[in-house]
Amino acid sequence: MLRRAGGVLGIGIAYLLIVTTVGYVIALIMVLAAMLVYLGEGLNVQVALVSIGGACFFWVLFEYFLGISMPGFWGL
Amino acid sequence: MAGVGWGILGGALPGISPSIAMALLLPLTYGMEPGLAIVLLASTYVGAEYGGSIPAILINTPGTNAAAATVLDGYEMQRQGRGGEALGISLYSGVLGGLFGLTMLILLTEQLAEVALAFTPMAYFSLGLLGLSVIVSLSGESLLKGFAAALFGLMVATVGSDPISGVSRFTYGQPELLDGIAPILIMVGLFAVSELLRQASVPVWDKPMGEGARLKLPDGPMRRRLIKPQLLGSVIGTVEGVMPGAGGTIASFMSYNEARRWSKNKDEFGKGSPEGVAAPETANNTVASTALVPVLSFGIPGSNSAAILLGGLLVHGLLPGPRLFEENSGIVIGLYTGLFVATLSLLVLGMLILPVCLWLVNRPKAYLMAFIYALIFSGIYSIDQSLFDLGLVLGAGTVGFFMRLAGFPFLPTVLGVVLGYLVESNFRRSLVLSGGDYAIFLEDPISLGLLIVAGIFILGSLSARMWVGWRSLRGGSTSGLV
Repeated sequence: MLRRAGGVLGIGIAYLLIVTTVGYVIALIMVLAAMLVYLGEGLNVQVALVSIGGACFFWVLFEYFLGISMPGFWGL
Repeated sequence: MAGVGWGILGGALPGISPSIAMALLLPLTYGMEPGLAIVLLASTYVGAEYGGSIPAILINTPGTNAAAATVLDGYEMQRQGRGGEALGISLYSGVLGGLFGLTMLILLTEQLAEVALAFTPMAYFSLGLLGLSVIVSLSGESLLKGFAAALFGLMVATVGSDPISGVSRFTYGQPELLDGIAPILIMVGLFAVSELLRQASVPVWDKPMGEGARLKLPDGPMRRRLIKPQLLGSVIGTVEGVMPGAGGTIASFMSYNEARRWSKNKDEFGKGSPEGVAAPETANNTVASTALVPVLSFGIPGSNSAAILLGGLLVHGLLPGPRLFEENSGIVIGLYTGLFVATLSLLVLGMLILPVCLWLVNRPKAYLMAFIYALIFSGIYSIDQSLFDLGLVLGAGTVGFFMRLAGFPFLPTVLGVVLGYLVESNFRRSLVLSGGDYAIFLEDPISLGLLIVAGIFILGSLSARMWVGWRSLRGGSTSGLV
């Protein structure tokens, strides 16, 4: 039980560590894909498309719709 | 309706508070007619205060501080496959609360404004203490665990600058902690992140099916059952709303507590009680209207969102106070009319938006969890563009996960975090005023009255727990004794 929960927490910590380097969109794609694979969906085209689509949706929602600046690629 | 729709979106996204949703709109109102601009901002506020309950019910994540009390029974109903019913009750109660608050705003602004002015630091301290007294009945099976959880919340509330001297406390050199820890960070961590950690460990997904996946407004018998908690929520929301600084959080927790106290179905509370959703939702939405009393009457904003509304008034050359009602009566009447339309729009927009939300939360477990995690990362970062905040949320989530394992309740912690600063700052201000004489809390009549009510609440809840414990002991169980 603790190990499964630790995995989800680890994905969150990994996001914190990489987001300022790779930027919001790529970090979020990795979080979505990692969560889906970790929770048993398997690495396939659907997971890849949902992760990319989901990250782009959040980016458009926060960056453009709400006007909030999210972390850019390599700190830009 | 645009304001309400924008507000619901803002309230429903954890991290985008009503004030942020309003602040994002403020620049757009510069070129508008003053009346239209104020109505737009006020409608956004109304929508956002309601929107906070949607994620509270569906994904165990309060979108606003005031929606924290809705989590307890709302999410439990969702887990039982009654999410559509919970959302229907919250929508129905929210609209009723909003209309009641608006009626009070129109009819009693002058009288309610006098109540707001009569509040001293001593009265605010006692009000906070009254809010904390709810802990006794929110502690679940173990009072000791409830007190420990509340103490943890109060400790978190002491982080940041000292309210009187300005000295940094428990910040460990971190500039991000100088302003303290925002309650929403703790709430999202405790409720949402810990739930994700728990769900990751559970192989079976208790996904609601059938009726629960459709929005269901209360039918006749249910509407009759909800009258009492809605009345309690309306009255408490009216009084709390006019006090600057008290806000919807205290009102929703106190309404929840009183609804349970006066309910014929006390045992259902915490296990998916419709009354447990109706009372805080009514109170929360009543506060959204009555919180405008001190803004319009004196220009005193009781919250961040009220401050932005005040900013909107000033930008358009409207000075709050008695003269506002004489010189710009058309704008005030327009505001009241706009708020009325906005409150009714909640019903229309809710019926359009909520089925989509219900569909979204019925997606497969892995997809839902992944997107909730992504929403938390995005929403929390958007508050202050701070990754430190995100770290705090993950930390709070880890603490919450272990609290779940050990059976500690979350709501006392939330109350401690939300009320800690109010209680401490007004306690210290009062002692500065009195030169260290504690009798000042008994000399102020409002403070004395609130302290007596808090004492009655605590004694009443304690004796009820002892009675339940005694009966359990006779039945062979010790549950509820301590």
